[in-house]
Amino acid sequence: MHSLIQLSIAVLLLPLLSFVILIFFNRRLPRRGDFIGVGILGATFGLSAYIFWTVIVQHYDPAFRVAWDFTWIDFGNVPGVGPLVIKMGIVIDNLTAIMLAMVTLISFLVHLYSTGYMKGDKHYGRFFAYLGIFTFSMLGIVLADNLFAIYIFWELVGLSSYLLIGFFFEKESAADAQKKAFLANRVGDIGMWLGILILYSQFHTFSYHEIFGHLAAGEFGMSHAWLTAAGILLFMGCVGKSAQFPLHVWLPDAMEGPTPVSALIHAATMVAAGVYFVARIFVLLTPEALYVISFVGAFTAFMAATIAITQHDIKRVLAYSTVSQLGYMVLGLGVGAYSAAIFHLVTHAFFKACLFLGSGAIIHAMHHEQDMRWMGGLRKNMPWTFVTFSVATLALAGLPLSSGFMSKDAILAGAIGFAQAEGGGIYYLVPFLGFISALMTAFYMGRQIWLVFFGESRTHLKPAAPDDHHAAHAHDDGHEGEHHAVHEVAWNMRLPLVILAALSIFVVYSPDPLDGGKGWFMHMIQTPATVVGETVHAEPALHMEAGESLAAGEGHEVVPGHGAAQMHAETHTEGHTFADPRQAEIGHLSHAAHNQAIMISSIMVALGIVLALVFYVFRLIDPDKTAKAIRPLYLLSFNKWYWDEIYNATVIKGSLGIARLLSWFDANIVDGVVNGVATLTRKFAFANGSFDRYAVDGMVNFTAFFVNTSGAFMKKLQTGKVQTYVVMVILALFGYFVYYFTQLVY
Amino acid sequence: MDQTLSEFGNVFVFFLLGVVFVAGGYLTARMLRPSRPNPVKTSTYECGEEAVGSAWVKFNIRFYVVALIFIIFDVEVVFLFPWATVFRQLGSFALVEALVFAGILILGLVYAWVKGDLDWVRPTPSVPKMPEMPASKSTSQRD
Amino acid sequence: MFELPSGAEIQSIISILKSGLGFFIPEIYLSILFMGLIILDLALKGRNKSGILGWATLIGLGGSFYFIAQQHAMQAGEHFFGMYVLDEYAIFFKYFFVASGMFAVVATLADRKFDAEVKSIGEYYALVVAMVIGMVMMAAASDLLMIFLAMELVSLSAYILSGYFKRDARSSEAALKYLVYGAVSSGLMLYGFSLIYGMTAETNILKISMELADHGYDPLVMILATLLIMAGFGYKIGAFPFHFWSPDVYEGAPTPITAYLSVASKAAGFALLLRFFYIAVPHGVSPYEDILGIDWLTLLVIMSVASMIYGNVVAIWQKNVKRLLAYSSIAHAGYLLLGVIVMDEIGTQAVLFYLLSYFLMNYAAFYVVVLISNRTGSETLDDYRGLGSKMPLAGAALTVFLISLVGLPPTVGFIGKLMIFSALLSKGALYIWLALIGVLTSVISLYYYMLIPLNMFLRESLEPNEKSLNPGFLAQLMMAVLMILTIWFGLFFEPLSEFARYSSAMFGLSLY
Repeated sequence: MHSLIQLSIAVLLLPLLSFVILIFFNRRLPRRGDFIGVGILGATFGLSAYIFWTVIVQHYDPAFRVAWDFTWIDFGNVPGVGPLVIKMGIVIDNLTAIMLAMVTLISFLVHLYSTGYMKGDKHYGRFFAYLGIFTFSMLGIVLADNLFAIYIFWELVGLSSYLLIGFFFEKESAADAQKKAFLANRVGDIGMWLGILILYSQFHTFSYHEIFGHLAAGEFGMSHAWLTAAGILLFMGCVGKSAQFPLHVWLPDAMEGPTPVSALIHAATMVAAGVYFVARIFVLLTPEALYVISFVGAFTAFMAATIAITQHDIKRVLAYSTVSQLGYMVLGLGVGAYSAAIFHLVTHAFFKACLFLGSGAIIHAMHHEQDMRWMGGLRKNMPWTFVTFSVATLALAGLPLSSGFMSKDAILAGAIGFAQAEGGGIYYLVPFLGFISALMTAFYMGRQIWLVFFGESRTHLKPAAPDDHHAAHAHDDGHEGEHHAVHEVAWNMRLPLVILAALSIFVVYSPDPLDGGKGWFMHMIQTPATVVGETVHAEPALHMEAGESLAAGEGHEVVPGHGAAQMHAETHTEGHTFADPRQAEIGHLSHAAHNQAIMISSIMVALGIVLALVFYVFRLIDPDKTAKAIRPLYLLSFNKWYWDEIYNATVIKGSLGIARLLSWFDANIVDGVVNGVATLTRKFAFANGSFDRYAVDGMVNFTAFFVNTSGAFMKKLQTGKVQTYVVMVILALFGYFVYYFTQLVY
Repeated sequence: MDQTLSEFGNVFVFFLLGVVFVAGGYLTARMLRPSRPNPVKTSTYECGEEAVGSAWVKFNIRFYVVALIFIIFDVEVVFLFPWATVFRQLGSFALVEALVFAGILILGLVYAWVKGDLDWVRPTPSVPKMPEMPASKSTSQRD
Repeated sequence: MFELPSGAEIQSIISILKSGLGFFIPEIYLSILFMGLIILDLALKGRNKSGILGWATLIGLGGSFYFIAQQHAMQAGEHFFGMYVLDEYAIFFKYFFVASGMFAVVATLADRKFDAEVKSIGEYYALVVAMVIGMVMMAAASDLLMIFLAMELVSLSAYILSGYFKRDARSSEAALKYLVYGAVSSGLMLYGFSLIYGMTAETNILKISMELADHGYDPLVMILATLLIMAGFGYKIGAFPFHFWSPDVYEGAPTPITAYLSVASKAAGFALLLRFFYIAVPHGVSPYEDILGIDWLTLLVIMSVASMIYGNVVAIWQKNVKRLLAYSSIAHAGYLLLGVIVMDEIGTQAVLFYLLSYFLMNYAAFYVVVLISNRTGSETLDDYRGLGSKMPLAGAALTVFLISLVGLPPTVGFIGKLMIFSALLSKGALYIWLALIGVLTSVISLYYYMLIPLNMFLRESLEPNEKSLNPGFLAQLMMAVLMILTIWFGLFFEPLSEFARYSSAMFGLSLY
């Protein structure tokens, strides 16, 4: 076993250890055992950093890969399925190494941060336990080398996020959010599982590597449409986890969880899992599936950005911003800008975690005030938070010199390239929505920064409510003015902010602030060659046919500049060539669109910031009046496009209606049938039950029973008649004699 | 030819003389006695017990006591005979040993005597009247 | 024709007999005690006769320890023309049987039933002593005739003793069954002896061994002889399938005699069995590749396993405590046989130690049973209900003894089982399953032994009579001492195990 594998097993299991210790013993440990959680995660991060160092720095090889697996369950040859062997394994490549380092670092920082944020909570120890199991599940997703394993950890992540989101389960809203997140994820997971099964039915393996190998060899037995379907179904898992439209509704509600949880789950890890998963299966996605993905991503990015503009809750703004950014990543994957999407995943993880933790610091300092309308002027009271929050904001908005700038522009460049490669038209919608979202991102982040940190405190403007938590707090603390109550947070909450902010600066990833492509990251994460497009283009004849019979859905469009793309592919500056012409062309065009993208994006960002300044700093336009002027649009945005209401009216009402119908059917028709056979069933059940009872009890008491009955039998030998006894002795002697006699004779 | 009889010849002569002696006795008695048979007289003599009938007859337990004591001393004599044949060669040690041996047996006899086991107590004839065994009554006296 | 021996021959015979007498002092002493008791019985009159006789027996038996102790200094060897041996092994059993006899007397003195049932106790004590003599001779006999005589002495005494309650139908029935069964077994054994004599023309077991080794044998006859002899030994040790007499006899006999039979008579059987099988039956280099090519192991293993299973399993169904203990004694015979199967020094040591522990715990348990039946007049399990509160010390003591019988720490019974099993396991993997059966059947025994404390402590008395039943100061003291000893030797077993190891040396043993 490779030493890296051994280390990664340790990395995987350490958080589980933390969970086991804390869930059982937190009440008996000093400080509820938080030091155990933090310490173990520190160690985990240390190991991950070592793996990262070895893989990324020492090997510095784009094709680095070590894998190890073992047979977990061997069902043998299952009738109707074929050989069914479930393996478990670990694969470590550059993507894994980067994800490991990222997940463990953020998890560690969140642990550390939580020692301050969650201090004094009733279930303080349990919180760390939950963080431990969550981290374990997430690392499982990252390390898994096959679809079955990733599905298991996928569900574990679902469970642990359920626990964390509903951590304040006494609050009804938290309990609801918890259920909502869980159910929305289930919808996606069902699709994902179906996708896995489609692939399994063809290849009888769950391993990525083997599936890709079989696909590349053209062994997919069903039609191309099925492969597309498999890709889209797998993508559904991502839709659920990464909160893409139409399953995005759970994420904003999940802000009911503690803020460190938001930072961990909703910025860096769980939502990233979906993107990570799509990246893992990227090579098997057909162009058709990629179209779907890119449009879903673009729409999500746009929609969430529009919603973020009008929200008042500091965390909700960030939540929608997260959805929007996830949309970017998915968009990036869809358009084939694989490395850019991963890049954005990582940069986003850091700056969004920083933002969430910063907002947590603010909320903490403001005594659980989350409404931005009643904040303001925190710049002076919380300088550390202000600086780090601003850096992260700039990264999110995508200003030059930030990490977000590089990654977002790479995605947008890819989107332009994609649109060009696909021949324009409707495909330009993708980059268009991307740029509009960039504008809006800059706007709403500017709005947030201004509302929170600048101007004067507006706490006094808040309409007082008798049961207001915040007011009660202030009085409890004996403070007259709110300003005295707002302090910078302690070091254990500040340190994570600083680290995360530092990781949002361009130099970490690339020496050139304008081009992420020159950095180590883009070198290490390169778009893998697709294993599905190739077969379509392998034969010119087929290609021609495909081009002619486009309507039949075989293959995809013949693009202009095909030859140029191939020519270019050979001289690609990145030194990376694609056998697949479509990929090669997109790659080439994206590269060409780089400067274009930077330019448009910078303009958009600048425009967004300017707009924010106009609205909130210079107050040239009154936001309230504007809102009134475009009231329908404002309401659409403020009410989150009415998705919850739509779902209520359709899915939920519909389900309830069907449920009622079924209930009626059940009560009037099924029950009749059931009653008809009730007697029979009951008799059968009774017989079955008694068999069970006797079987089980028999097994349990078998020894006693056996001993007892054999005793009852054997005691019959003692007849009380001395003649019998004598006969017994003679018989015994005779028996012995016969035994020895036969022994002697034979 | 050897005129003397062999060892078995001696035994045979002894056997013949024995038969002649017993037969002569019976013959003489037959000739001399008066013959007036009755059923009691003609039945076989069995020490006073019924000769013909059920085998499940209750014997008086005292027969056994007497028989056992008889046998003990019978056996004692068996042991004393060889001792006696070589008594001269054995010397005083053997005399003491024999006395010890006899002493132990005599102690047994004394014990049985003192305990009353040698008293011949007649069983009470009216058996059917009493539910409890008359024998047990006598046993308790003996104890 | 029979020829008279010459004077010189006779003188040499007499001198050998005379020299042998010096090694025969404890037996002579015991014989004098036997006769003395009879004379005392005849001489004594009055109400306290029974007590005086009992104490006289006790003191007399105690006195024999002095003479036995003298024998440690003597050279191990054969006497009386190979009839009788003196070795540490025999001395061990002399102590053992004298102590057993004393304990039987103690239990008899405690048993009130004797006052009610028995008018004449003189023979009783004399017979106890006679049985001690017989058992002592069994342990020391090295000649087939001597073995038979000693066994008959023991058996005849035991027949009478077990039927000593003449008016008790069960007691009489027990005696009769015992007599019939014993007669058959003795007859079978005697037949076996005669076959051996026929093959070897020797009665001394050492000479038999040499004769068999030198001149060979007919395996079929050898098997038959051994099986028949086994029937006699098996009857004495009460092992399956020769155990049938024991439940009936143990139940019917007076309780002190039950205890006496279950401990002393069984031990005598084992003393004989070990000596006979180790010496008379020749062995090769390894115990089971013996030159006879006869698989003794199977015979003993079947007996042992069957005894353990049968005794323990059937004991579960018993309602009478004495009968329950009877079946348990069958099982204990099985455990002891495990030690015999080992057939080496460790095995002998384990058997001797187990006998010592069994002596202590079984006698003690019977002693408590006697005390309880004095008060309740019953030995059935149901009548033990609620006794724990009425006789707390007796209840606690009985519980300790029963725990020891199960073989749980920290009692002497645990060490006994431990030594047997470790002796087995030290012989290799072949015996693991035997040890396993031993352990599993011990688990079964836990169930029925613990029924007694269960009834005593956890179940309500059937009669709501709550007066406490005090067995008297001396009895309490006795129980306490026994209880302490049971635990004491469970913790500090070194002296006993040393004694057992020291005593495992047998004269003429060429086994190793």
